[in-house]
Amino acid sequence: MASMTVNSELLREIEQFLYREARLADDHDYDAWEALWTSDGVYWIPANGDDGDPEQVMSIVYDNRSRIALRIKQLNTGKRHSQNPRSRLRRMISNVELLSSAEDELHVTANVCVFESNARGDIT
Amino acid sequence: MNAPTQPNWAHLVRADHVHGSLYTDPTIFHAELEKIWYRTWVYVGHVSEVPKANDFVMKSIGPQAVLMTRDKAGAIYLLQNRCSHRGNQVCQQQKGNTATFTCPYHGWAFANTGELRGYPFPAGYAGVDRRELGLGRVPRLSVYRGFVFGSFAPDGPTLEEHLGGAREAIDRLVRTSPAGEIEITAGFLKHQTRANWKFLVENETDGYHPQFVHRSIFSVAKSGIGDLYSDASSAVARDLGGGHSENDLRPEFRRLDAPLGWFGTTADRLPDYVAKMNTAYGAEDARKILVDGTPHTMIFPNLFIAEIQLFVLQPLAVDETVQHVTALQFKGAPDLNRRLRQQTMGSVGPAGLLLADDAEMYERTQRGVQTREPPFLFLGRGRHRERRDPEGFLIGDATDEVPARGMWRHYRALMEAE
Repeated sequence: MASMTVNSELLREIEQFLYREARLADDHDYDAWEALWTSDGVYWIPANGDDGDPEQVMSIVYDNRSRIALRIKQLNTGKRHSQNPRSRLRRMISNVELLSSAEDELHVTANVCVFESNARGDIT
Repeated sequence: MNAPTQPNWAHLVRADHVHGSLYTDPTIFHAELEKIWYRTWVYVGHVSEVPKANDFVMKSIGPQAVLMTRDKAGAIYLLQNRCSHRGNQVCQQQKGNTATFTCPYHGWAFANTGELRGYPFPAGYAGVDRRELGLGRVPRLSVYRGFVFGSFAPDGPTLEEHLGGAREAIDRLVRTSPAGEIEITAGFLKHQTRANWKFLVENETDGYHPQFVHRSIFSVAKSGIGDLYSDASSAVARDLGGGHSENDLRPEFRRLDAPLGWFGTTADRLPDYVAKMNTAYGAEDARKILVDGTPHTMIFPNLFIAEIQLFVLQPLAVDETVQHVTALQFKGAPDLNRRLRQQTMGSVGPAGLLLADDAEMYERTQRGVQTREPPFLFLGRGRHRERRDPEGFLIGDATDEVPARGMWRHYRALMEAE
């Protein structure tokens, strides 16, 4: 088995960050959630099961920092019908893995399972 | 004998009322499949989705999968994904390039034109005529300016006759490209909604809802779209006949007289595109095109040209519909296209700044009409002020329900037909 030294302190810090992000989103605390983002952050949810180039093909979400802010502002109007009443949410995060690190950049993967309950029913 | 009774269409579909069961009754949905989806012209795809010889893409007509292929000579075919032997699906890929589809069950091989090329151990089929064992084909296929339509009826009106007043919308759309062509190359989002397909058709050219459903995004994005659909707007709701309809926003855009204003930008932000348009059409005509903007037209029953997007509606069940959505791309306009993709991604799909709220309305409406009283929905808005435009089309004010009434008139005629 190839040995790889895992910096467990760093990994713990990463996990805590992912849990915090999930908790703030679950609890609809979007101001605190938005504050986690840096100005060059990109929120990308690919479509159709493969990671097509989001600059060329449609994604479910491909938000730069200003569109993230716009999304939150829209929610905060209270007239975002699809979230009024808002969903009950719980995100489960697992398989957190640090793939590489260099200087101030970390490449981390994780699995997430979102449980959503609203007027449409329960969706996992 | 208990002959199945035909619904009383005249009772269900009235001049300005429609019955709630039209959205909820599974027997009505099955009648619609036979009389609308498997009979009239239905939009399937665009030639640019199969640009090269032997390209294919999986499409649909109603709940049925349809393979759109291009053979080595360049001709387009609409085939059914069903082996003529045991009914197994011969293709599992959403798109790709192949001259042959080989069924994985017993190895039957079909050309991308549908013909049966061969089967393993052919001695077992002595005396069988291979020519009668091709893949099923959609009996009629017709292409208008790159838009591919199919009809399961062997006979009937031509595509041009079917498009009627909506042809002009496609003509107008392709003129927004300096090359006179649109391209569908940005992939599709599949947005599933638990609602009847007709709620979606009606909503596409309903000029009454934007100010209410989309207030949240209009207010924070400082968008002028809401004003286009106000009581004071000079925009027009038009019944194009044949179930087709549009929100004609040109009167407002001409009043504002700002090239690319319809797209929320200005000519100096897209200089390459504007220069190419000037070269292609001459400065005067190019300016007119850029002021007028692209159509907002619903082509019955399933193609919505939504100014910057293309929606293809696919009914799966009486209460389940998929909207396939992509950004329109204009040939020869990369700078415009990039912006179109970005704006489309923000607007549509289950997370869309606009469409998530439309979908919420579709689903709540679907749940609403399950209740018994009142039994009818009211579509009378603006009926007293309906009028004919110079070309003879029925029009109304921007927020009037002229399009929905036109759709239902056509619907009733189709459903009453033998």
